[in-house]
Amino acid sequence: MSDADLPPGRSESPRAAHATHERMEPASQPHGPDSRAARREAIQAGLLWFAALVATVGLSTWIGSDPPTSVLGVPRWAAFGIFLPWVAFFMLHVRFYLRGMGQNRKA
Amino acid sequence: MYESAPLVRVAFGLYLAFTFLLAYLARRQAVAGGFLREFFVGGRTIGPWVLGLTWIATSASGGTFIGAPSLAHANGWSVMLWISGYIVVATVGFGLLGRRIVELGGTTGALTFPDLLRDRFESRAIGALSGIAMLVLHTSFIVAQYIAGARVLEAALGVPYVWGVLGFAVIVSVYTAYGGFRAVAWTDSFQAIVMLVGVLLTVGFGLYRVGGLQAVYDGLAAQSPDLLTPTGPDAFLPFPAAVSFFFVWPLAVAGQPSLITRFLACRDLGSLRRAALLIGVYVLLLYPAVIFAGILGRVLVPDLAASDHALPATILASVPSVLAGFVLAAPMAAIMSTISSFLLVAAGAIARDLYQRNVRRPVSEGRARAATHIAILAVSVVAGIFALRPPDYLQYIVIFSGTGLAATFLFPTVLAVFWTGMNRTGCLAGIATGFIAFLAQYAAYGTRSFLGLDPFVWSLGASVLACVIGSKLGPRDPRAVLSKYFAAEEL
Repeated sequence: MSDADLPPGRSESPRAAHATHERMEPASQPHGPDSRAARREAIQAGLLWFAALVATVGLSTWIGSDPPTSVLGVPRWAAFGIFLPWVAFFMLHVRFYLRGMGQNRKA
Repeated sequence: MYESAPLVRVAFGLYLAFTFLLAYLARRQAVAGGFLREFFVGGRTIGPWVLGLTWIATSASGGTFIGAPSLAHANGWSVMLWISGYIVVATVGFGLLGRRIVELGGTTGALTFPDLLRDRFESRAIGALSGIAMLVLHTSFIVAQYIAGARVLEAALGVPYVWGVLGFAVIVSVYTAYGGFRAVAWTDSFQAIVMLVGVLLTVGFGLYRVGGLQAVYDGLAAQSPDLLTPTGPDAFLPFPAAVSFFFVWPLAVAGQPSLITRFLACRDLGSLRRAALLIGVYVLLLYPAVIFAGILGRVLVPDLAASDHALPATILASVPSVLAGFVLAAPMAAIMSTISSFLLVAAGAIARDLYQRNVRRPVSEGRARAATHIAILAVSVVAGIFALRPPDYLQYIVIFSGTGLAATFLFPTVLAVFWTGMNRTGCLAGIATGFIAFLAQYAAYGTRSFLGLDPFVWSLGASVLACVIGSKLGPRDPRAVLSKYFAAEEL
């Protein structure tokens, strides 16, 4: 759906969303905002959460079942089960918000 | 008690003075548009930096700065796995509801979290029920923050515990009542910066004192090899508990009414996106560091006068006294920012959701202002009284309150804003079931319910189920109501 397909006074683009945000009042709004883009982003956020759960708890438990050894002063299970996933999911987080939320995308 | 210098007191005093100055300046920036709109959502003009920093400062509480390092001091590296849900806390916290709440805040005019639910279902009962649940759980969270604050003052300055509680209650309630959301957001932003700088300095100086990461590892191994395992001493974190806490942190944050309220104050979607990016970086730097500070403390100060003294004692043992006062402001900042935000939400529950929206006659601006200030005073006094008898580990109150709020509100809110089939029966059923299931499991099983999982996990499941079943049993909401919340194509 493009901006032109949306009812008057609403838009997907951040700039237009801001403009409507300032002027929209309940009485003058024929319909509420389209929830589909936000729903799609919520589902993506949920999938990232689940992937992080499996990666972090899975790797930490698996590597941590061996006797503790050190990687540069950090327990091996924490280095590969927590810090490595943390950096990886941080990069996914950046990608998610740079390309997702508030961008002008088709619903 | 731990050794501290007079400079620490001076630094504390300067920190408090600057906080009050910010609150004063924030109030001068108030925009026209009515007391309540300005007091509760800052006139909906909050940009990315303030939004991001107030969001994280509210989220990072005395639990983060006092409770979690104490657990790390007692249980070593296993607490890093315990906190690891924070890996996705910014992604989930902003991604699940952020965009939708920003959009709805602008179109519906909601000022408080119960406003959103009450108006979506046109139900006073939902407004009152959510107001009461929020009041109870937020007040217990404030109790935890008073305890944490008093512990910092006790450990760092030797202030008697009771006076510490009183000091926190007075200081934070004054600037919150004075400046409302804008003052809270501005002071939160300053406090978020203090928190991050303070923790990074503690870790830097602490590592220097101990002799590096390997020396910390060897020091822990010498005390107990269990401090280096993912399960920790005495099976602190078995596999089901590790899974539970990956539910607890991101989902409890996502369902936190005080954080959802932040989105109502946001200026636009671009600000939301930039705030989410900022918070991703902030969380990456802060949370591993704050847990590591507790682990460092186990090597630097193995014996503590009270379990919750881990971080203040580590700061005093590692940071030069010239800087220690400023660094000790970090836990103070975390505590004060959370109290102020929660006071605002709890006062809103009383003044707006239980009073203003339930009286027949219109409430004048003067009355609304008086009701809000009285509510802040009342919540401060009640929380202060409960804080006079602290438990052994503060973190347990924090987890109880935070997860209780999310178990009660997360899925009723998610379904209310995304699902056109959700109706008032479903919402009431979801709120009541989440709240009761959570309390019942805590009363019956403590922190480990069926299959060893946290009561929060099962309560979330029960709440979703109740929302769906209730919605199927009750009548569908009128199209006129739904059309305020959804686009024509969705109805």
